[in-house]
Amino acid sequence: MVVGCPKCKVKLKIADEKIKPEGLKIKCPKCSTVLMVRKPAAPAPKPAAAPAPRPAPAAAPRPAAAPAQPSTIAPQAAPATTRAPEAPQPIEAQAKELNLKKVLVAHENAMVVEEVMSQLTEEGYLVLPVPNGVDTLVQTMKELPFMVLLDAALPKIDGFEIIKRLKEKEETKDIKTVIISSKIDEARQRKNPASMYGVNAYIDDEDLPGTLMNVMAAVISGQAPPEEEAPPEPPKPVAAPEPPKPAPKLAAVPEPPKPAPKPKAAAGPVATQGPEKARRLARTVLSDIDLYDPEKVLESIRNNKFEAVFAEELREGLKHYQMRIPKEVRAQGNFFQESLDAFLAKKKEQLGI
Amino acid sequence: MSFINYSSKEINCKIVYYGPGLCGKTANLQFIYKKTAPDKKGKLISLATETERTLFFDFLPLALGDIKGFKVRFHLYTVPGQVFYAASRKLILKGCDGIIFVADSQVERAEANIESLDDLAFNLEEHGFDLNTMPFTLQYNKRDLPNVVPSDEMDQMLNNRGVPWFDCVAVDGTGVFETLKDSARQVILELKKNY
Repeated sequence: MVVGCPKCKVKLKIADEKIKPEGLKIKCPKCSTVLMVRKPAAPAPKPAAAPAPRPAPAAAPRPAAAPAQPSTIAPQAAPATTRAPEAPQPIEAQAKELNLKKVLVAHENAMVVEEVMSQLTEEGYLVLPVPNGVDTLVQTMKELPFMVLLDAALPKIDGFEIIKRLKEKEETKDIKTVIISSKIDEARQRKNPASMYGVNAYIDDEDLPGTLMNVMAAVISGQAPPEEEAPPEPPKPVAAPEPPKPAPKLAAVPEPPKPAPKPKAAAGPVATQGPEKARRLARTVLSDIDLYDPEKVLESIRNNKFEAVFAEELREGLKHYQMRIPKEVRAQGNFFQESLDAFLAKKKEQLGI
Repeated sequence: MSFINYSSKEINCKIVYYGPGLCGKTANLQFIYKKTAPDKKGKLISLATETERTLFFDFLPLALGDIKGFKVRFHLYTVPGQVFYAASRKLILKGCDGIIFVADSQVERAEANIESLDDLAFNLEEHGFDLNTMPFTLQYNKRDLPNVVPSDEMDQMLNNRGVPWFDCVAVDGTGVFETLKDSARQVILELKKNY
């Protein structure tokens, strides 16, 4: 890099690799002035070179800059300052870069974004709204929020893909993810979305106002590091009201919210509709066999060879049945065999056997 | 997901005809193929057996005019309906932009319709899609047969989301293009929303 001597104005060329992070002292070969050269100020080499007059102006704008942008950058800058003293903490290496005050919300529905923003800002979080999948990825990488609340069907890149990509990256893999999406149809969906792709929680967008804080508290309390790191926040904010709010919430609610969302989507339908669903699937398999080859079916039943003639179809059907019907439902009875017997009995009745 | 080729100015969308075995998915495609001008369609690829069983899928590329200078091309696919061809169905659903669910209106296939719809939701979910939010059209096929469930009952059984539905007789073409048009409309609206 090239630096100018403030006294004699001569330009000096210095190899970049010689400049250490803490700076390099050199003596001007022309006027013998001692210069302090620092590396980072690449676009402005001259200020760095200034021995006495420069540091003063350089120091002045910096403190001025911080209060100048309290609304947007202050919360970002603050954790950086608070984390430095906390550095000796053991977990620091893993999670130091996630900002425990920042939450990113990616949703197309303005009402959802508004609801999240109003609730979370009240709790002292800095909420960053983004409209689509690409921006979600970019902003998450840039801002490193500790939590991302997102829609499953985001434009450009869908929510699950985003979660997958975040989990793949070392610096974002610990970010908590919460899907805010439309209602689960318990009769049709067999999996809770939260059980897929490593999503930490799922919030039904209709229940958002009532459940958001509970789910957040459950997600946060679900693992140790964020809780341990939560304390670093309180000393940081200049605005005092923020820290106390999230902290008591996390401590107070961890138990009740957890059981609430889970059984709602997963256990309910399996318990009540399981056997009936299993029977229906088995009947459909048999109905399909009958539909595609009715004559062959009747013929084989007449000869008492249905199971031998359609061995392959039955095997495939059973395989599909076992794949789709949960083990605990299959344990309640052999619904496949039961349906097969009923099917054969009905056909035999038709044939007058 | 719809594929936009900016250099050749083409938008390619994928619509999948889904439904239980022998409900008329291939019949839909065959009718569309028969009634489309040769310069607007590609070759209909059909892998079916003599028992009209689709083994893997049918495929029909279809040009549907221009949007802002981009040629819009729809790729129509069907899935094998037989319940245990789940793996093929899941594969074909990958990257689809819209679903047309062809339901068999016959009383004896009522359960198969529900099972197939259930299977559709399950497979979409595996791809990270939600049947409740993506372009979705229902077609109640075989309305000409005597033993059919009334349309409003079919609707009650299958149309929880309240999407557009059409009575149809795919073999003679009644309702085939209406269904396709509605699906294309929904897909394009969705496309417009996202780009």
